[in-house]
Amino acid sequence: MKPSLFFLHRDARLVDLIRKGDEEALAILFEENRRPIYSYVIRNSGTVDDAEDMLQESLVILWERVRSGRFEYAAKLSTFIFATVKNLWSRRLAKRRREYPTELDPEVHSDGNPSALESIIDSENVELVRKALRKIGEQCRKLLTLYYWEELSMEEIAASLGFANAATAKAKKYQCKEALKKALQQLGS
Amino acid sequence: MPAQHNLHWTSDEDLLERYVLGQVDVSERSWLEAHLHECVQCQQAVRAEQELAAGIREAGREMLKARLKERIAVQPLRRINWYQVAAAAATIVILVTVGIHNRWFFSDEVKHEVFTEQEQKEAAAPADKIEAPQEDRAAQTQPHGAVGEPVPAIGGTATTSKSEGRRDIAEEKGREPIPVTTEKRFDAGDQEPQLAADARRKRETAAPDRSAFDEVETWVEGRMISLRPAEPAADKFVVPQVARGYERLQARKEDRKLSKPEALIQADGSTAGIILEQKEIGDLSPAQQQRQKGDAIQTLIQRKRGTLVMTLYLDRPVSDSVLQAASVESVGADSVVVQLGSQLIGYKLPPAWSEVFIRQAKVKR
Repeated sequence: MKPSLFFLHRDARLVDLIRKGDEEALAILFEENRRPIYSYVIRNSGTVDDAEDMLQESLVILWERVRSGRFEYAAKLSTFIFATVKNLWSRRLAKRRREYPTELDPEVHSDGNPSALESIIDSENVELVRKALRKIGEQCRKLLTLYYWEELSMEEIAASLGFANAATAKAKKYQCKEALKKALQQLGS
Repeated sequence: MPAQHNLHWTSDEDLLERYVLGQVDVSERSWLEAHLHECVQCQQAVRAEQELAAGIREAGREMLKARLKERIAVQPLRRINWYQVAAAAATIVILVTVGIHNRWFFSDEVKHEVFTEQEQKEAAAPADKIEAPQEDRAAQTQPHGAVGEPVPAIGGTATTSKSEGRRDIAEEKGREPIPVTTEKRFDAGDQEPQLAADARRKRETAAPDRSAFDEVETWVEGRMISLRPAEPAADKFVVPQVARGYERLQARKEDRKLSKPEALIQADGSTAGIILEQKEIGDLSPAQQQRQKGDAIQTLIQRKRGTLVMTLYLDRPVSDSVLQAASVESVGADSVVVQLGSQLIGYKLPPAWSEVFIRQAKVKR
């Protein structure tokens, strides 16, 4: 069944806000989806903190998808958020089961193998990178985040951070990356 | 030298970044990966770049989450207290019963208006119709569900004039007769209609201490009134500032604007204590949307920094100009009428709120 145009229209406006980098859209979506998500997570062996974390996580994923141009309308935003939370929560429960094997939640199915991304994220070096990021300047942190996380083009980054052009932004990115590597070396030694 | 290039492709910073970010096309990826299997140095470089990207992404996510957390004041989820729900339901039943008993949904002012309409109709009708038997007459004088509440039939004889009829009713109830007038509003300076004064006295003696009233918002249900558009009256106060547009996003932004005290200053320099906003029905919760049947208009009344904000959830939002020209008018002691263009919407207010409302309405004076 096609989602109603009314909701699509409204969702389209929210997506447009996210595309422009307006985080207010996330706050609105958080409030609107809080009750069903909290209800779902708490009903499935979670806590209020888990629910909040899951909802934030799903909104972050939505943000990433939209900002990097990988989001496609397939359903209402609330449906997307709920489906994402269900997946995330299933994985979280499966992970907990691996760490603390019990008989809880037999309905959750998972192959039990962490994805390639998870295996990278779990590594200690990733944590080192996060620490090193705190040691470089605010502008560099923003620039590298826009490039690696939000996957913006150099033109978009230049416009966002007020650089003269894409070439300037690219040169700055190189300097920032060098600064980050240096901070990493210092932390490693 | 393709072979040399292949061995060291990871030294090309741009290519390495594009590969890790998944921005290379399929054919390019296949030859890059073919050499990755044989080149340990390249594998290490790719791994280092992946960790760098993963760390930055994680940091980006955390930063966004932190900012999101700042934006929303996360309230702990309240579990449903069924005792409270039962108590609230019982209170509603009592209020509705008392309300029906006292026939207060819409005040006598509106009934006067109905009388007046009926009077005009009957004045134009042939005399034999006016001289109808008592039972028929009682049926004729029933208002036609104008405000969603039935008004009882007029007593008295067939030849009794309207004013006499009302006087009879009042006397039956042991009240003073209501002056016959087509003026349905009253000024603060004027003498209040008797029933309004009665209601006020009743409130003053029975209502809880005002200071104990700390409710910040309530939902009320408005009813479309199919009377002719109200005429401007001396005590009508014009809502000075309203939310522009009806989208929730806009409304949120407007909330900030409206909360500024200067937004309450009228063009003539006086102040009014009630702000009118409109939102879409879609902004209501599903349960509330289901309640939005017929001509009912779900309305949220909130107290914000000493100001009352009425948010009407409309099926078809009105234009900015209509909203700006809207007015809120007190009718009787515990009801208000909102005029939106040619539409009149009536509200019966909960007891504690009616006091606040009337007080706010008088701010302008």
